[in-house]
Amino acid sequence: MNTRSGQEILIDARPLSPWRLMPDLYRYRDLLFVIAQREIQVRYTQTTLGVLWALIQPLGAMCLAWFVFGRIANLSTESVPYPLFCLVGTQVWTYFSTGFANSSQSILSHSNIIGKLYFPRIILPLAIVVSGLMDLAIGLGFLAACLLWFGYVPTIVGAGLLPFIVLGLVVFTSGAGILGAALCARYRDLRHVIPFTIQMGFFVTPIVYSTSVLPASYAPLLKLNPLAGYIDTLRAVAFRAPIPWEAFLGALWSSLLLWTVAVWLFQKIEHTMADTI
Amino acid sequence: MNHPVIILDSVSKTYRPKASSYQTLRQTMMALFSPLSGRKAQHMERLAEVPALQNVSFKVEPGEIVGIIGKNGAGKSTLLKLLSRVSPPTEGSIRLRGRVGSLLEVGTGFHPELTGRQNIFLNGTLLGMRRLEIQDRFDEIVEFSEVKAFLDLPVKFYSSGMYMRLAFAVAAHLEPEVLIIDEILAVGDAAFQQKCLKKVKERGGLGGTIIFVSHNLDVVSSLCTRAIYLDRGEVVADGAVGPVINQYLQTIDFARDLHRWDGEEGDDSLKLIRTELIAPPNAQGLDTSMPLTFQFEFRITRPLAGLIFNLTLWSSTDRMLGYSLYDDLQTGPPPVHQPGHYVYEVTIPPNTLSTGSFTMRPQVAIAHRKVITEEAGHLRFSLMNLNGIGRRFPNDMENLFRPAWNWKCSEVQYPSNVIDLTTRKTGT
Repeated sequence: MNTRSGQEILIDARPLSPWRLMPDLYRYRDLLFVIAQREIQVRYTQTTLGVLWALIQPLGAMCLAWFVFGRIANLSTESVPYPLFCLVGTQVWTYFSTGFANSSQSILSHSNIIGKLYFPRIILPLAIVVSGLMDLAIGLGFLAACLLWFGYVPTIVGAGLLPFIVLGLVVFTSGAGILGAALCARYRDLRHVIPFTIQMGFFVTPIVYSTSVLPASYAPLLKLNPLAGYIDTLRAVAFRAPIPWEAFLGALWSSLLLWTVAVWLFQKIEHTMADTI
Repeated sequence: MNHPVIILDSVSKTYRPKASSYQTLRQTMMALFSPLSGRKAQHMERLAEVPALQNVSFKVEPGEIVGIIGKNGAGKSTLLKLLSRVSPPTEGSIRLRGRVGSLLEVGTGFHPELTGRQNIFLNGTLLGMRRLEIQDRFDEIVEFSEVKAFLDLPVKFYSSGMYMRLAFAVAAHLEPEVLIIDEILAVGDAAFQQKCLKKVKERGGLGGTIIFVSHNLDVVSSLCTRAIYLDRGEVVADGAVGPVINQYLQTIDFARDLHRWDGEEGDDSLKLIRTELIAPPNAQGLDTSMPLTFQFEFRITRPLAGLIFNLTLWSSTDRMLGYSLYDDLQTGPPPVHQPGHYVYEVTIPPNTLSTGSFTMRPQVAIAHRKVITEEAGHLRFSLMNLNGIGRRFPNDMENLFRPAWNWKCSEVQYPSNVIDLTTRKTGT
């Protein structure tokens, strides 16, 4: 009478290995989207400006950067209007920083559910990263409109690359978020480290400046930051510059690596989360 | 074909005490870099471990309704947490066949800002349902919850009753092979509780397996086909409900109950010195089928006229249920009590009260003048219903009395023409 009847679940002291996790993730796949949907609904219902907030945040960051760095520090941006140049960086940065901050807290902030119900806990940070995609889409749409207004029409290759840039960004953000969530659940002190990390990240990522203004000796360091790769690639797409393939593929590769390590670590401590948080 | 749905194989669970339940980064660092302090920390941990379950093994067959009983801290909730996969065992293994639904707390995962409609989907998927399944049962869930009119209102505006009803409605429609329930039947109003019990019972009939923890032994004895009695993390008894509950009752002391009070309360003319509820000999716990005899002892030190002695009976929710006055029908002048000891005795006949906790409060006064004592000597007692009447359909929390009224049923014979007459009448 029921198709699920044959399913057997074994519960013991061992953590769920990936092949034991997979059927569960599949079974709970709807939960991911329902939680992501909830995040979006909760964020925008009952606020007067609603979805406009998705634009206000990166725009505000852009204006601030324009004023501080463009006017006062007079950074070079290779013939591109500085606000537009900045907008690319702030879109990516806003998506990453909010996704990373919120998903790092996701386990702690859902401790009441975790103590009462079973579901694959990794869904929580994942869903939050997914929920940020709506803001990102709105932001990128606005960016596209601005680009067209200023006469930048992306090439076919550039437009085709966009989904992969977003995918890489999602992988990196969720990797960082899952790692943050696992560590915060285990070591509460780290809760206070996350905002600081984000603040640092803003300066070591080429958001308000161009990679080209850095001394050449810093270039290898920048390769450690996948966000730099994504932002540079997105800028190249936006302003019709040659695509920095090496940086882009490097960013994809390191994002995937981080993601794998993060998921492995998360699953290692997942099964005892209910007892420890 | 009839494999057990649940197999527990020597399952143990050990908790670290709350204070050290999460580590600080410093501790881990210290353990990593200094082998000495690491060993010390490990040793400390082992010392502080608290066993919650020890070597628990049992099997549950499809369709069984198992009640887990035991005192607080016996490991009941831990067991449910293991069965619902919230927390892993420290040793041993559990095998579950089929989908497991757990209701460790009604309404877990509801988001206050979201509407009832949105929360049905959120809560349903959290419980492991697919969106399509929820869609299919949506109308049924709404119907069951009785909150249709408020479906598009954020649940933060719901009353707690509405909240609970909606939460249970979602859970009740999960239709898993195994349903794990923790004390949820203590929520909502009586009529809704009835409905939930019925729903739970229906599922049991269909071959669904239910495991639940309840402090309400009535519910366990009326609903379950089997009971497991846990004490200090170990299975003490497992089997038919009646004997297991009896074994449990032998050890239970109703902590909040007070069956005897001794003291000296009153004024210089009268002192209340003892109140006592006398249970029938060999009784294990008080049952609604027992007569309840109360004694109240006074010491009177000077002649008193117009003495009034009354009792009030209160429910656990502080509702006055009854009032009884000694010699209520007295005529003529009030008697004068001479100095000495007096014992008043009053008996509530068997099969009067329903199950639950009650308080009996004595009051002594002088008519039209003053109250001598009313705050002292309150007796608190709890009643089960294992042998009393009302066993057939117990567990309605609504009624506070289960009186043994006199029933009679007899068949009435009418001459056949009378029936003809009445039918003709209604026909025209």
